[in-house]
Amino acid sequence: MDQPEPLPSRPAQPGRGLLDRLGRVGFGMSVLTIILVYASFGSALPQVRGALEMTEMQVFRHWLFTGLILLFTLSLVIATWRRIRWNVINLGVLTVHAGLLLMIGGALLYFATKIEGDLLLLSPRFQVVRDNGQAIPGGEFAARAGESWSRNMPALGGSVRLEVIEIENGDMRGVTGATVAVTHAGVTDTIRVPGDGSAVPIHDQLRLQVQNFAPTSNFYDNETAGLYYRAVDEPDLLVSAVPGLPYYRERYLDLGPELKDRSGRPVPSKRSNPTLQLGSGGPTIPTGWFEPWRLPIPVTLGKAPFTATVTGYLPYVAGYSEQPVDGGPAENPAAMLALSFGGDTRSSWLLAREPARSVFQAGVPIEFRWVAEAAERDDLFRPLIATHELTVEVLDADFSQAFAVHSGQSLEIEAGGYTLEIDQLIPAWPLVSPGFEGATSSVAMVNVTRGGTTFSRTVIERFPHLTQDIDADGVRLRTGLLDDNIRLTYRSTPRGRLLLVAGPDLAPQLGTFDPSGSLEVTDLPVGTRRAVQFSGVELDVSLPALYSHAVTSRTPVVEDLERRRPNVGRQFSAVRVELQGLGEHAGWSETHWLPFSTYPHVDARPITVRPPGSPKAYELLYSRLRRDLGAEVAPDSLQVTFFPGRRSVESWFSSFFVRHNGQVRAGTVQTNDTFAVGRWTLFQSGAAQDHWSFTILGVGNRRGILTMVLGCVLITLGCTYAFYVKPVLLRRRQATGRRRRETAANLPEAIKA
Amino acid sequence: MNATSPSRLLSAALALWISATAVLAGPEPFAASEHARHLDPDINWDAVSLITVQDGGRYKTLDSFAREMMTSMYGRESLPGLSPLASLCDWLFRRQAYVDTPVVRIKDKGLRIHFSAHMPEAARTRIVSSSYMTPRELADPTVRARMKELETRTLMSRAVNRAREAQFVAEALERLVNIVPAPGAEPIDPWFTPDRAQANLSDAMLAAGGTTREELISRFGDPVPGLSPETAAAVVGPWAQVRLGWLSGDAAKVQAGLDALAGVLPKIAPEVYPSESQRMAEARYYAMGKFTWGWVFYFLGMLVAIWALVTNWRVPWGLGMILLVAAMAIHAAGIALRWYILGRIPVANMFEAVVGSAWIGCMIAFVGELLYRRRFFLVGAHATGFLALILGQFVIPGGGTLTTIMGILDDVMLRIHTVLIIASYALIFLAAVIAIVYLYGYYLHRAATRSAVTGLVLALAGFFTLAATTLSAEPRLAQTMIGVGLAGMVVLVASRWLSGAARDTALAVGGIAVIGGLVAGTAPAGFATGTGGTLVVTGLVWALLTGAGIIQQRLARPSTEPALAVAGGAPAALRASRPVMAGGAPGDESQASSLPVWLQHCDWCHLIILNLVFIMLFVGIILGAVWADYSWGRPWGWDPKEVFALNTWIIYAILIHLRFITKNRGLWTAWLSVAGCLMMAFNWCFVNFFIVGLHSYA
Repeated sequence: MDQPEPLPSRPAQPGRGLLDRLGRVGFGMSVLTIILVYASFGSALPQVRGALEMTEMQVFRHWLFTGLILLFTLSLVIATWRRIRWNVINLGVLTVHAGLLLMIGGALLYFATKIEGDLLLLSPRFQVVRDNGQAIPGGEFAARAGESWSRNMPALGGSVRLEVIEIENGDMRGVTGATVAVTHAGVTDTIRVPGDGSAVPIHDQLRLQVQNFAPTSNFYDNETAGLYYRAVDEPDLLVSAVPGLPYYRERYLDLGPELKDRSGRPVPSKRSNPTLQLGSGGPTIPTGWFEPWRLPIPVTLGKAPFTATVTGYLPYVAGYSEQPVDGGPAENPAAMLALSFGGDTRSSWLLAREPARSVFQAGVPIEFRWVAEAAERDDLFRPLIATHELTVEVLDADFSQAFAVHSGQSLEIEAGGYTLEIDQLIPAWPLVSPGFEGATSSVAMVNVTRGGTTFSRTVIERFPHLTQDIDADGVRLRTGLLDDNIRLTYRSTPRGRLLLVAGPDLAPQLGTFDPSGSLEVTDLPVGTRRAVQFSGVELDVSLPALYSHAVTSRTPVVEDLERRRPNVGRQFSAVRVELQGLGEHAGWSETHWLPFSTYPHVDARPITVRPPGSPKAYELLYSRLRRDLGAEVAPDSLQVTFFPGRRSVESWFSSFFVRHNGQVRAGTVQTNDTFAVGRWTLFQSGAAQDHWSFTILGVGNRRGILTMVLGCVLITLGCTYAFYVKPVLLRRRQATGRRRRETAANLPEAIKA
Repeated sequence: MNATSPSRLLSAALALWISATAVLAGPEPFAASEHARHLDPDINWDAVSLITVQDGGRYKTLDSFAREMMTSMYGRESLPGLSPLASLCDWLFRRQAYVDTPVVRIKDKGLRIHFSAHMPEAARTRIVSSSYMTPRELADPTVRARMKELETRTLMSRAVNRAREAQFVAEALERLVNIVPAPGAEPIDPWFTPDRAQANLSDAMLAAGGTTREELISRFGDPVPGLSPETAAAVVGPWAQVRLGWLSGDAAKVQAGLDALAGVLPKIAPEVYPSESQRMAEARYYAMGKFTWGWVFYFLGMLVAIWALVTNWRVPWGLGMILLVAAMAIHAAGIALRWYILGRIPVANMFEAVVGSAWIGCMIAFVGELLYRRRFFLVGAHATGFLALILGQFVIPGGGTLTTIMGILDDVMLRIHTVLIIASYALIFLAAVIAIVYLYGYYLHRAATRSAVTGLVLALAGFFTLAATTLSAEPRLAQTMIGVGLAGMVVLVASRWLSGAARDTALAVGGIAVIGGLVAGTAPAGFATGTGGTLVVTGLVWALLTGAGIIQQRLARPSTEPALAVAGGAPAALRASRPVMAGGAPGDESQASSLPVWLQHCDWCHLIILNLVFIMLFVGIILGAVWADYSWGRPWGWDPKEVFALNTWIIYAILIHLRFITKNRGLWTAWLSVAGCLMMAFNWCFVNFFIVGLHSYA
């Protein structure tokens, strides 16, 4: 036999080695192991997710995870193509691998396009209102046949009971009318309540009206935040997405005052941009290619005459503290005063223009006054002649004299023929005049008698213009005085007091009034500390800040770490937004913390800004991004079923109307049952605790589901085949081979030859 | 000496140990219970125990109610020395007698420390060490203020809720005894306490009692809707009789009152009152301790099964099968009775899932054992059943209390999903038991001494972990321990360049330092102590069993062919005898000349279970996704429970594929099976209780 010619050597195929490696089972299993480790860390360590600002969905939608899946898919395809023989024996594994490919394809599509959110449907309701339109607390009940409401109102003549006999509805308009039985004073009447919101009398002083809610065609994204804005006189809220907003940790650029938690501890920002610093002072590595969050985040606000930049995010805000900062448009004096005594330091902001906030009680009352001229200051810095001093001026007699007074004392003022009786001297009288609510002042109650006429005068120390007279019949004169000829001025210092006085051109000075009425005045420049003697005790007083044009800045108070509840999303969050004027407002800027609203149209907590010179004010609101549902949904009702005892709910049932492609149809979702509207699936997501007033429908899309289902079916069938059919086939093949060998062995040699 | 003597001796010793520890002493009765202890035996509780109470969204027997309330407050189903119903009555009527008795259990040590910080040393020590407070201590304004303060702290809120439940039972139990239905009520309408029914009495009766309707309404609430004065009198009268009889120690009076109540209550609203058979079933279920005591049979069976495996004898195998049938029958009785009482398949909480899944696992293993008779299924079945029931009886929170199922979980697809998932979990554990047997046999055959030493090293690591945990109570030493762990890592890396005894020593020392140092230095004290203890026990058991195996091998005569002896076979013959159910993945028959046949059989049995696990777990996960799709609108949310169920499946996918590329297939399979079991346990226990997710109820 001729020696065959040697085959020409194949040219080297550079990709072949790579294909071999990718197609190895070991490689595929290694990738699978990395996927397993990634999934374990991403899922079981919320701290890691929090540090990287990734939700569970983002962890598993991340390009790294997607890359690993694609690499595994590639390995799977190559291994299947090159390593597995395509025959009946291997039908099982081929089916499983085909199923895996389908499942992976469906899942990639599903998660790449996945959007989830929810919408709120407020149930139509009856409202019991007073005849002036004022709502009665607790006077709402569901607009549903069979519902009842009753209230015992003795002031209105006894019990009132309402029972809904019939509801007319059935389309997107909600309740179009209702028949209600009204029982009052034992008499029952039936009335018809229209659905247009007009109120129908049910009693002399009560009315009943139906409240319907407009259909909604939007839902709100669970993941992406939105910044809403509108001019105050415009109805529509416009929205811009805030992409890359952090989710879990407090992160803010160092632009404003230090934030503190509820217990007063500082809350420094975590990393305020996606970088990683190696050691303190070490090199910084940008990590934005891996982490999805950003700061600052510029947000375009369409027609607004300003731009917005998100410069901070807080996930847990317990409340807001209001604090003055300098730079306001109008004069608004504010002073931060601190007082130390025996190691205890207390400090407070004092606002000279706000009566309730111009005094600080730190064991001793401290008041802040802002005066225009030195003469005013000198008038304030006059020693008292005694603890209580009453200055009496009689205008027609050109009389003026200060008296040391006490309760029960009687003064005869010969000039003018007045008799004054000091009725009461009250150190802290609460003021109720508009604009002075919450403020207190020392007050002298003086009975004034002249020519047989007596009236009582309430002389108010801090705000003399509020001084009022009460006539002999006990009627308080709201404006003016009964006798303008006599002018009383009261000053007192029963416990001593400190008075800080400053002005536009006047350096701050502190007056220390002793209980005896003596005075010592000290210069108190900003940022300095002064020791003052007060009733024989040395006090340390300092003035850390003094602003002439203060504006109030709302600063969030962060929730204490140990009180934070996990998995609350953005519910308690806030963002800091820096606004920069555009065009004619260039150069103007303001910074605000905006609290989160779950639904911008329901629980909105907007802030209002007005660029200087702008005719319009604008509302800004931080919430979730609004998305189009592609259909209108109008509420019908929420119903619940209970466990025995009616204390805990077993399941919820929401009914509503949907207008989609011009057609109106009734829809329901309930526990374990969804409803499809176009490409969106609605499901029961939340409900009101009163079991009727609102329902929350979850909204999500589900592309790629069928592909995944098909893949899963194939995997199951393939596994079953590989585990239980393939061994039988192999056994048969082995038996056949064995029989053939035995047959061949038993054949006569001649036949074999 | 006969080769099987050690096995027989071992069996006898274990049987003796079980007998000796069968009965555990209970706590001493309280002095305050003396009054009730005299009454309790004189009262026939049979009829009374079937009175129905509406509580926790469920209708339950008074007996169940008593057990659950006492468990909430005291941590056991009854006060020491009293029956559950006597405990209930004594607490309802003579609560003041216990005001200084440490009877309210505060389970969480952190809370106990907070609550007792201001108390005298003796009280503080008692409360912290015993976990019981007196009602007076609990009513202390400082304790209440601390409770209020602590419940705002997220990490403490669950513990505070438990304490509040105990406190509510201790202080206001009578408000929960809702035994009076409203006539004509719907099944979901609320029931009422006998105290509240007083407001339904006629004016004459109220006047005779020296009270007014308004006064009663202000104290107990509005009258029971629709309850006539006559019926109210038929309830309120006997209730008062029971109270007076109990206080005066008159058992006959108490009995008369209770019997009257048991007679009248079912007639008030017969249409909503649970059937007598259902109530009796519930009473029986509790009386039988929820049948979890079946673990004794499983435990005995496990010893017998190991005996059968070691000796290959038919007698212990038959005994093991009988014990398995007996244990499964008890186990099944508990599940069936629970199913009947609840009216739904009992797979809605941890107790039900563990107990139910174990039974399915045992049943599959029983069938496998009947078909293949290789002993491995028998050992695995007994171990699975034993673990499940002992967890159910002693460990699982709530102790298997009958509860309602959340509405969202009441779904056919979800039930199928749950049953498949938990059944696959049981099989995963069963497979891991077989895997451990394989690993034991493999290392006994290949490197017996090394295996025994490894066990000892693990035990030493455990001891070191325990010691280091004690030392780490001081923060400075905790850092030192982390340093020790890191140093151990360096030693482990350095061992790469060593050889022989030096390498082995470095590996052992490094391993001990890494385990003990890092666990003690970084993990919470409870976890570190648990890890240390587990390592000590498993390490010692492993070393001892390996030692016993070595002795057995040396004593064995080849002619007797005991299971652990080397008995290689021809690969082709082995392949031919391989069960079809072991699947299409390559077997370990090429190792036939170097491994005993029984290990080949073990590997086959292991594969039979793993194949089932692979399919059942996958289908279970997918059906869960199907349910989630139509319930939540999304099939997959990357919830931790979902992720770790998928991770478990991925481990088995890797396991199957590694059989195509590794040489020691059985060994790899065994190790990955153990890893899969650990992943499953992490998913079932850790994820359920410590990671908040959509499945936190599971």
